[in-house]
Amino acid sequence: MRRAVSALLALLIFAYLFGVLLKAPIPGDYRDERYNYYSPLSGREANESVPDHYVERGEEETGSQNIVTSIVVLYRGFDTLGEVTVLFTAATGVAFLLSTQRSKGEKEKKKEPNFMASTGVGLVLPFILLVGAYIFVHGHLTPGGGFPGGAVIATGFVLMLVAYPRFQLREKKVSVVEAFSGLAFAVIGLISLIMGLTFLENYLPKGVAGTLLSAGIIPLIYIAIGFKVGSELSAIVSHMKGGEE
Amino acid sequence: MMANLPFIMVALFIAIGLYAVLFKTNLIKIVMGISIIESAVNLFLIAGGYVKGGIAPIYTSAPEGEEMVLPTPQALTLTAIVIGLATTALLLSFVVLIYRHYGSIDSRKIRGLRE
Amino acid sequence: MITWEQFQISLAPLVVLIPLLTAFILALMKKWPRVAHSIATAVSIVVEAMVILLFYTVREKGTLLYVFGQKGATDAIPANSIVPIRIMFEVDAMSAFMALTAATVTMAASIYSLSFIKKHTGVEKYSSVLMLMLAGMLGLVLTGDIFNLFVFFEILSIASCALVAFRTERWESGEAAFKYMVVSTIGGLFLLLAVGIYYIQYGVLNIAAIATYISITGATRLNLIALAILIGVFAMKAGGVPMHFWTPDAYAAAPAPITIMLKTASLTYLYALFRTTFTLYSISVDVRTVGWIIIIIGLLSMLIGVTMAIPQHDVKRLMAYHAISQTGYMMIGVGVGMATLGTAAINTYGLKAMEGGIFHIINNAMYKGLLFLTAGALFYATGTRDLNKMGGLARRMPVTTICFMIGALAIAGIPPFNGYASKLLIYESVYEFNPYLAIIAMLVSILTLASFVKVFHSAFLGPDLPEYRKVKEVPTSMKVGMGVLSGIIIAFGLVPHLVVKYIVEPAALALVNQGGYISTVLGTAPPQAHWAVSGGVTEGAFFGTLLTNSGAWNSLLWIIVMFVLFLVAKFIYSLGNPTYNKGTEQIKPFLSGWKESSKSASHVRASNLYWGFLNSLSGYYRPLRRGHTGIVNDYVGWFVLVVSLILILLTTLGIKGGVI
Repeated sequence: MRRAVSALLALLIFAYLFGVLLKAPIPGDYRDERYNYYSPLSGREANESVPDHYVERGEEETGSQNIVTSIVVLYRGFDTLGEVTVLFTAATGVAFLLSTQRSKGEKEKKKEPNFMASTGVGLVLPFILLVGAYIFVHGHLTPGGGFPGGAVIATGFVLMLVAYPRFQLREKKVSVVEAFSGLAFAVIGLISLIMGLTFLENYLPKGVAGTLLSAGIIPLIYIAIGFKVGSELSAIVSHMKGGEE
Repeated sequence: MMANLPFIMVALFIAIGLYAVLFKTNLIKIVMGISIIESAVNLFLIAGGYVKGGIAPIYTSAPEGEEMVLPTPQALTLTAIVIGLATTALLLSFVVLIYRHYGSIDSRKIRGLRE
Repeated sequence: MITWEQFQISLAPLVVLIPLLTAFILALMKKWPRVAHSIATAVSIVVEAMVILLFYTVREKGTLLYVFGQKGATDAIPANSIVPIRIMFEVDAMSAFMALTAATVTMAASIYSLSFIKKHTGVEKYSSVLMLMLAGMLGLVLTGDIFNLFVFFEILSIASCALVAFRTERWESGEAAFKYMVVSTIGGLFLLLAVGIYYIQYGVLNIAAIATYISITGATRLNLIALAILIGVFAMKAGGVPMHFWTPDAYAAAPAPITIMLKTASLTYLYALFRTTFTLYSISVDVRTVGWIIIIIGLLSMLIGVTMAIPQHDVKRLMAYHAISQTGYMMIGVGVGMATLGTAAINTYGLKAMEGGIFHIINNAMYKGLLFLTAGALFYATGTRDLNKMGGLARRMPVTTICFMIGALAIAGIPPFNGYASKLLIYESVYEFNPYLAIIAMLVSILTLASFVKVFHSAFLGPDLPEYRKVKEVPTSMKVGMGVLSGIIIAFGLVPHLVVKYIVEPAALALVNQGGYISTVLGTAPPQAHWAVSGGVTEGAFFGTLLTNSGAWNSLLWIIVMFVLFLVAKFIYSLGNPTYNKGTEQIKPFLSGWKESSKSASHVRASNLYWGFLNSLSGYYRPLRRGHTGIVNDYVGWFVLVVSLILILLTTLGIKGGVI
C-alpha cells in the first residue's frame, strides 16, 4: 500500500521531470543563450566557456589528441584517482567477504573442458589481450583509454575461467599487480607534488601531437590504470566463482 | 520534441528501474533494477552533452570545420560506469552472503533486523 | 626543496592522499596483519595532526584554495580564460571543522581496533578500507567541485558497506550491508542525476560557479528538482526520518569502531546538506520553505528516534536510534538558521541557532562515539549485545562504567558536559523562532536520559551475576581509545566559550557567507549572493561564560557551586549517627518480605523497566513498529516518497517572494 503510494508519487515527479525537460535547452543551441558566453561577474563578453576551453585549447595545452582523455587524466585527474579507489575498495571488499570457506558443500565436480570452448578461447585469447593492450596504450590518440582496455583484458581472463574449469587465478600475484599499479598512479602524481608543482601536473615533455610518445604523463597513467582495472575485474570474478582452493 | 527524445527515455528508464526496486522481491531483481537506473542516469549525462551535428571530440583524423560534442559528460560517464560496476559487484557479493545464511533470497523473508 | 608556505598550501590534498596511499600499501601485507593495523593507527594520528594544522592555517589565512594540475596552486582561473576549468579543493572554516571531527574520531576508532579486531582474519584489509573511509570523509568535506563530491560520496558509501559486513560469520552482517548498500546506491545515482541537471543548464561543475549562476537565474524548475533530490539524498544518508530505516540495521551489525566511523560519515553527509542549502542556493529560493523542510525532518527524527529507542533491548540498536534523534537536534538548529537567512534575525538568534547546531555536530561525534565504543567493550567482555542478559558489570569493568557515565550524561545534556552547552544554544535560539520546537526538544532530552538510565541499570548496575564472574576489564588500547574521546568531552564541557569562539563561530560564519565562498574562486560575487553577517558576542565578561542570545552559561562557576554544595551536604551528613555494619543482617535483601531467591532472578531486566510507559502508549507504538517492516523495498519506497513530497512543497511554496 505504502509502496503503491510512493510509486504513484514517483510517477508524478517523473511526469514533471519529463515536462520540464521538454523545454530544457539542448546544449547544441546554447550558443544562443546568454549565460554561457556572458560572464555575469565582470559584465564583459567572455570569449569562451568551459567546454569551449577544453575543445579549443585542450590539444595545445596537453598534447593529446583525444580531448576526453585529456579531461579524464589531466583536467579532472583527481576524479579518476577517486574512481580507481572505488574499484580498489570494491575489490578488497569482495576479497574479504567471499574468502571464507564455502558452506553447504558447494564443491563442484570437476568437469572436462568443452572442446569447442577451449579451442575457441585458445585461439582468440592472445588477440583479446593484444586488443586490450592496444586500447589502453593508445588512449591519447584513439577513443578508449585505460578503463575499456582493462575491461577487455579482464574479459580475456573471464573467458579462460569459463572455458577451462580447472584454471584458477593466482590471487597473490593478481593482488600484487593491482596494488602496484594503483600505487604507480598515485606515485606519478606525488612526484609532481614533490617537484614543487601541484598534484597530477604534467611534467613530462608534450611531444608532437599525434605520435605515440606524446602527451606527457597520459600514456603512463593509462598503462597503470589498464593493468589495475584488468587485474581487479579478473580478481572479482575469480572470487565470485569460488577462488583459489 | 524529437530532439528531446533521449530525455524522455531517461525518465522512462528511471521509472522502470524504480518499479523493479520497489516491487520485486527477488534480491537479484532489485540489483538489476539498480543497474537499469544507473544506465538511465548515464544516458542522461551523455544526452546532455550533445551538440547538433557534432562529431566525437578527438582530433585524430577528424574532418575539418565540424563542431565537437561536449567532452566533459563523456568523462563523467566513464567514471560513473566504473563506479556502477563496483557497486554491482559488492551488492552481488552481499547477496551471496545472505544466501549462505538464510538459504533464500526473497526480500520478504530476510527480515531478521526488524523494528 | 619545499618551503613551509608550499607545505601549508598543499595540506589539503595531502590529508586525502596519505590515507589513500596507505590503503593501497596495506592491502598487500597479508602476512603481517598486526603491523598493518599499527601502521594504519600511526597514519591516522599523523592525519589528525595535519588536520589540526590545516584548521590553524584556515583561521590564519582565510579560505584556502588548491587547484589540481595547474602551475599556480591557488589560481582558480587560468590566465587565458575567465572560467574555472580544473578541480579544486576549497577549504573554508566549516570544511576544516568537519575535517577535524572526522580525523579525531578515526584516530580513536583505529586505536580502539588494535585489540578489538585482533582475533579476526583479514585484518590488513580492514585497516586498508578504514583508511579509505578516512580519505573519503576528508575528501567529501574539503572538495569544491560537485562531481568530485559525488566520487567521494561513492568512495565513502562503498567503504562503509564493505566494513559493515566485516563479520561475515554472523547472520546479520550480510543483510544489514545489503540494505544499506541498496539505499545508498540509489541515493548516489540520484545525486548524479542532480549533477547532470546542473551541467546541462550551466556547463560548469564547480560549486562556486554553479552558485553564481543559480543566484543569477534564480529558482528555475530544473533547479528546484535538483534541490529536492539533494535534500532528500543527503538527509537520507544522514539518518533523517522517514528514511532512517537502514541506520539501526547497519549500526548494530558493524563492529563497534566501524559504527563510530559510520556515525561520523553520517555527519559529513549532513555537512553536504548544509553546503547545498547554504552555499549553492542560499537566498535564491524561499528560505522559509527550505528551512521549515529541514526543521520538520529534524523534528520527526528527534521524536521517532527517541521513542523507538526506548523499547529496544539490543544495546547498539538502541544507541543507533539515539543517533537518529541527535541528528534531529542538529537539523533543527541549522534549519532555524536557514529560515532566518536574509532577514534581520540572522544576526541575533539565527546565527546562534546555527552555532548550536554546528557545535552539536562535534559534540555528538565525541559522545556518541564514546557510547558505541563502550557498547563494543560490553560485547567484547560478555559476548552478547542483549541487555536482557547483562547485569552487574560495573564491579568488573570500572573504566568502561565511568566512560559510559560520561557519555550518557553528555548525551542527555547534563551540565557540566559539552552536550549541555550545545543544547542550551539550540534551546534558547529555537525558542525565539518558535516556542513549540524548543519544548519538544526538551521533552526528547528527557526521554534520552530515560533510555540511558535503562541501559546503565541493566548492564552495569545490579547484583553480581554468576555467569559474569570471570569478566575482565577491556585491554589497554580500547581504554585509550575511549579515554581520548572522554577527555575531549570533559575539555569541551569545561571551556565551551573558547570552543565556540575559536572553532564553531568561524565555521558558522563561513557557512552563511556565500559571497565570500564564491569570491575566493571567481574573484567577485554577483550582487544577489548572500554576504557575511556579523556574529554576536559569544564570550561574557566574566571568565568562562558562554553567551547565548538571551542567556549565559558558565561551567566553571557551576562546578565551583556544585563543589561547595557537596561540601555542605557532606558536613550535614557527618552530623548524623552512622550505624551501618557490613556483614550483618542489615544488608541482606528482602523482596516483599521473602529472602531473595537468586541473583539472576532479582535483577530487573531491560525489557521490564519501562513496561508501563510502553503499555500506555501502545496505541502510538503499534503503527510505528508495524511501519518498521525490515523489507528493503520499503526502505527505497520511503526515500522516493520523501523526495516527491519535498519537490511538491518546493514547487508550490519555494519560489522566492512566492506564496507563503
